[in-house]
Amino acid sequence: MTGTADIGKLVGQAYKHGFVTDIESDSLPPGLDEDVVRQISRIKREPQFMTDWRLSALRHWQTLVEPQWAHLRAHPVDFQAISYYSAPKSKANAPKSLDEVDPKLLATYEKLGVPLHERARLAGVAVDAVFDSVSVATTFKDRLEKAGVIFCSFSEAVQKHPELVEKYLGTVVPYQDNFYACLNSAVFSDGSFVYIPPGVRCPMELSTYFRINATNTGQFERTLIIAAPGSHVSYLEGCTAPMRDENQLHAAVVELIAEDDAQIKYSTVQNWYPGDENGVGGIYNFVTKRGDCRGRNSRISWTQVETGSAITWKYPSCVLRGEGSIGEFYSVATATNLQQADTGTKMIHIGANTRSTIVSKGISAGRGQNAYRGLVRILPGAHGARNFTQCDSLLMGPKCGAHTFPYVEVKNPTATVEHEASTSKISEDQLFYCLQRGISEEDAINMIVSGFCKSVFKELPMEFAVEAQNLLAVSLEGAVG
Amino acid sequence: MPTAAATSRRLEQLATEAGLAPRRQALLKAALAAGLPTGRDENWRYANLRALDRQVFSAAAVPDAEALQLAAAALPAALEGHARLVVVDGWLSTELSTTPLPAIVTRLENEDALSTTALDDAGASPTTTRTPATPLRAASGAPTVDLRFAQLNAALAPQTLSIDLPYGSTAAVELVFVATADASHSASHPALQLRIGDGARLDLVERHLGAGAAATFSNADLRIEVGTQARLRHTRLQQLGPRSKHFDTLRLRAHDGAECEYLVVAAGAQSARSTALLELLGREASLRWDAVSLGDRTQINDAFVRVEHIGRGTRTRQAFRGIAAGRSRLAFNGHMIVRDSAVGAASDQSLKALLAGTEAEADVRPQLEIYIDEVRASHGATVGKLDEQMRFYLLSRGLDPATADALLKWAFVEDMVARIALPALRHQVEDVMAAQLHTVIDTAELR
Repeated sequence: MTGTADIGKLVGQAYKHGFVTDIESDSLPPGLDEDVVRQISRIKREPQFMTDWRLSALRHWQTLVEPQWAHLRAHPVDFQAISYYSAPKSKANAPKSLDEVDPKLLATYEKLGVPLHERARLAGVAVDAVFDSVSVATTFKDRLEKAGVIFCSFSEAVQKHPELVEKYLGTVVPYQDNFYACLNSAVFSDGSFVYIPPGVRCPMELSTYFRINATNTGQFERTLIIAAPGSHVSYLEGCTAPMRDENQLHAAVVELIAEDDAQIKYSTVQNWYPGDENGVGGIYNFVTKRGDCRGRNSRISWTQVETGSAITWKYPSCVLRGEGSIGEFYSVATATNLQQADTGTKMIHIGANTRSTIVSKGISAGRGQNAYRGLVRILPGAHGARNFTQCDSLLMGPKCGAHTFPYVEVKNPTATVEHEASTSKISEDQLFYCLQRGISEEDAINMIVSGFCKSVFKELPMEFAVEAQNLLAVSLEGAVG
Repeated sequence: MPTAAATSRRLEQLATEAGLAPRRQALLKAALAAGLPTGRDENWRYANLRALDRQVFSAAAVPDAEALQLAAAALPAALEGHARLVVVDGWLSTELSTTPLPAIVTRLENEDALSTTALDDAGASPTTTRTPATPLRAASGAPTVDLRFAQLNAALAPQTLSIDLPYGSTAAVELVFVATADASHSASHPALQLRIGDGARLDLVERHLGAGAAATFSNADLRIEVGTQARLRHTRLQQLGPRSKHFDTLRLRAHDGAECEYLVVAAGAQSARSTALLELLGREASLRWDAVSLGDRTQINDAFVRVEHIGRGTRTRQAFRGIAAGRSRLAFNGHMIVRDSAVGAASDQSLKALLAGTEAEADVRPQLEIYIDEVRASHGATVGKLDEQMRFYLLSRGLDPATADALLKWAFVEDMVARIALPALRHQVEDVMAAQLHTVIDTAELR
């Protein structure tokens, strides 16, 4: 007995976050030019430096072409058919408290299980919720302010802390970085901003939920996290979208900065709508995430569970500049039906004695195509640098694909880089062993897949570990249940 | 500053020269229209394409007596039991080759020969002359840019050497490509097509040598078909001179039950790029690919090996060992593809590089592209320095650091050549490696 039928049943489970909230929104008409960028900047009441930066990005973007090197097949995106700004209508431009947030919107987050409302205090997570293009509410601000932590929407940060934004924006991911980051730089409308002052350990997990609701829009949020010397923060990110027949674009940028002895843990559970079983609809998820370990002994850890999106193009990276700094990347990526994922990481070792660890688990089922693409680059100054990479792929079914494209580039003779990878299907022996002991086939597959992903799940904060397992239950790893 | 565009312009100019036959002009124009590879092409990321700057691509003339003399001086001792074929600057030299040529060898005069010089003037009288057979088709899924240098070869090679091993036969051939022509005037474009009949056995030793310290440019193209249940043991040695630039393309197709064993040693040239596009078409076809790359000074050596598993139960085992000393740069890109037809395929890669120079660089890419679940595939890659524990072990037993390091480096690559069955060949390969490693070990003592 192969278990193929059972796997098919598990894989066939429907997307559960595909509802649409009937909510009024203000949108710009589709199209992208300098007027649109100026208008976004005007709506956000941004200072001149922001407008100038956006315009520079747009002008540069107009000289670029979409990258073709990824192992992906995508319908061409008509960038002039997208609306680059959509915001839920609210009583004021930005809600002052949750009382001002549209109740339908709050209901949306209730459906998602997002602990947005203050009464969800017991959840112990401060949340910034971004709906289409704008941040709608940020919780626990008072408590965070007492600790000196700034956690707010990006728009608010531009208004209240322009000096910090101007100092750090684009220093990790400059607008010239790549096609999608450049587009984001020109049109991003909101996102989250975090500043942890020196020596402060953030008193709670910080979290952002991103939701695309409106049709014909793209989502372009930007997150900037700065951990001052000796500080520590754990940040969680989740995302969902309605079920629509057309492909929608999500092009986000995340910049992390860790100063001396600072630590940032960034966890993502990505569950954008993946499209239906025939590959109709779904989010095109083109994201640039990069952390800069600027300080000595700083540490940035990326953990991601990628279950959604029709296409995922995402390489959370670490630039290990500070001596003794550490970069980590833990990833579970699934591709079912006609989903495609080309995801991985980059570890750029610049400083001496820098270390990095990469653990990537790819699961392919149906006709899904899952590719790991990772770069480990040791530059001449990185004396004693070390990297270890483990990259495993699990195949479920005869029509899926699992691909591994690692790049190892070493320019320092004192460095050590190790990479290992394996690709296989669920072992018949393991299945037989479980069945023989009276465990149902579904439970057996659950156990095996769960074991396969364990080394990544254990890196997730508790709240997300539970959610990640639930997500896997509704997509591929119902097996994880 | 010279660019790819400048290289293309030089080739375009060549394509319009009156001396070049229309068929060749068309081939050249087609290759140029498709575009030369650049550093933005994933499979050419680590290649030294600057080696093409200011390069003259015109095929070298028939070698004169002086060139043949230089080539003769470069030849190593002949291998026992092997027929020797010597190709100088792309032209088969009957003087330097085994006489008479084995019956399995045919020299195909590419129609519209480039040079009007009589072959006999160079003492390279033809054995058989006929137009080339239908070219072997390109590797099925290879991006055409990977075939660009093969296309240039097709347009410019003066001759194609053909070896046709009949059903069930056995042969041993040593094929020596010698480059003598100065790169500032002309280039060497050797070409080989090899057919190994069903059930046949071929032991092939292929060498690329430079004559003296000449700065040469060569672009070789090899097309190999391995028949059902046939066996190919192919040793490739690249020992070009320190000022040489070298490109080569190897295309191979293996049919049911074919066994292909490769040992590739790259130790020479200032700049080398080797492209291998291998297809395991038949059921249970197998490939073993062992590669050693030794870099020193400012050498750049890049190898790209693409293996496509198409037949059921096809198997590949690939190993790479590289030592980069001085300011050299080594790159190995092993790309394994398992198509959905290759039920039960197995692929294993082990890529290891050692950095032995403060400014050396090693780049390795073990890639897997798999389209079916009934497969076993794994790979491992390491880049680093000598193992400190092993080094300590040797030092604690009284060895001086230089000897300890030399022994560890030697052990790192010796495993790969130890399985060469022919002692004379193994010793020659060891001597090449020892010279490149500047080892303090007396390799004769190891024998």
